[in-house]
Amino acid sequence: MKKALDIRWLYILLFLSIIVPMARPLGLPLKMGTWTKVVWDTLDKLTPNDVLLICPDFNPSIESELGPQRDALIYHLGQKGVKAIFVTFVPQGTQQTKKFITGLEAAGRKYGTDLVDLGFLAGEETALAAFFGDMKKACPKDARGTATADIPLLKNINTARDVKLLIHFAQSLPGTAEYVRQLGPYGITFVECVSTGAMATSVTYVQSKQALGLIAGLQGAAEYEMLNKHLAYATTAMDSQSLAYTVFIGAVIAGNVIYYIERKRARTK
Amino acid sequence: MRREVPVFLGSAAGVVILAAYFINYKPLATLSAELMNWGIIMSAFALCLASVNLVRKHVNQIARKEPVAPFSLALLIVFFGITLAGLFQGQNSAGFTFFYKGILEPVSASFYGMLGFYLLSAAFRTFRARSYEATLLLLSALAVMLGRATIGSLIWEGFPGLAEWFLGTPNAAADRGVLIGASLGLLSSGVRLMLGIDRAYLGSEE
Repeated sequence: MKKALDIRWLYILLFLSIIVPMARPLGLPLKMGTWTKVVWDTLDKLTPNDVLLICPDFNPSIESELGPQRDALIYHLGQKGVKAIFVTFVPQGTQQTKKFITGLEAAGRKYGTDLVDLGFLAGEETALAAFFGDMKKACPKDARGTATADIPLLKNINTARDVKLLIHFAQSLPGTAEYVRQLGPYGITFVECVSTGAMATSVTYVQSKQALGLIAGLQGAAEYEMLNKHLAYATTAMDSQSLAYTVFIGAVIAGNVIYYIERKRARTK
Repeated sequence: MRREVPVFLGSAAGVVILAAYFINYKPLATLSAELMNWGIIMSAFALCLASVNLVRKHVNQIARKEPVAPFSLALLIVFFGITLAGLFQGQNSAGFTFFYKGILEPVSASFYGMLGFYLLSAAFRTFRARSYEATLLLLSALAVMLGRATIGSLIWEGFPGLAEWFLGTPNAAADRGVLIGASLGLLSSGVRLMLGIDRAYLGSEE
């Protein structure tokens, strides 16, 4: 059975499965996952005096998965009124920090007293170790050029131990493993936001309670939006993702059916 | 001396940082923190060096009129454009925003999005139940995919829970085995580096 199915038909099917629900949402039901609920419940208990450390270590290539997670967190954290310190260990994370700060400032947070951007630190795990040990020494100035010793939010914040919670957006290095290794001595609660592909590895740390919870991929973002009661891009995009998954499953099944038919024909010959 | 001094410095730095984790002695902790801060500065220089190498490589490709020269030219235009815009106008300027939001964001996202089509082709051509183990792998992959897609909960409401079980139990067990093995390898690599046995980071003898 030479060329039983031209792969281009599957490409067209995948393309349509993504585009059609975007134009005409289907409203497929979404079941809540336990890992996202743990994250939401923890963040919902925060008070306006709590200081978070947020590390958006991702670049635009993964914007489709981690971008909606970022937006859902901005909405939730904006409502809670918490304070946040931002630092990133990947060069393009600085632009993600800017999006965070713009979103939280729109929710009424003020730079300097509620938010601070410490920019980018090169060195991956070495930078993590240095930063968690002494934040002001690792970052003598913030991204806007102000001395960190003069920033009101950082007055009583010196090490990772002084923050309430860390939220990490992981794409490549430094990833979950590096954060687990370097946060170990500080005993700080730590939440991971990862893509679907990295979920399988990050779940291990959630299972061992080294990470508190996990928001995984676009589905995690959609679950978070449901908990926020503020449906946005992730919820509408889940229809496309669900249909695309269906195409994948169909392709795997079709591939196996064709394989068995060809094998049977080869045996009978 | 040319090789012994760097090996000694690398080993000494490694020993100091490692000892600071186990010995509660303030001067040692201060020295360890200082060395790690030097690491940040050296990493930043390494990024600059990587950029210089990138420019040099692509300028050479243009000068030699290689077939990829037009792509090298496009790369250099965007590279210098975004660098100069960020340096002289700031990261909030219209120029920087044009390069970042107008080129980098959509191109990066599109490039990553193309992976979906490659994966579809791979799933169709190679994900075959040729053996008992391959069948197990295929069935567990299908179960996880159905659990993560809303279509799965429409077929059977147990699929999401089954997917979570697969990820949280057998996957976590296998992942832990791999992590422990990798950590032991990392430990032995670190000991070899600190003892100066492994000198690959010094480059070749020539």
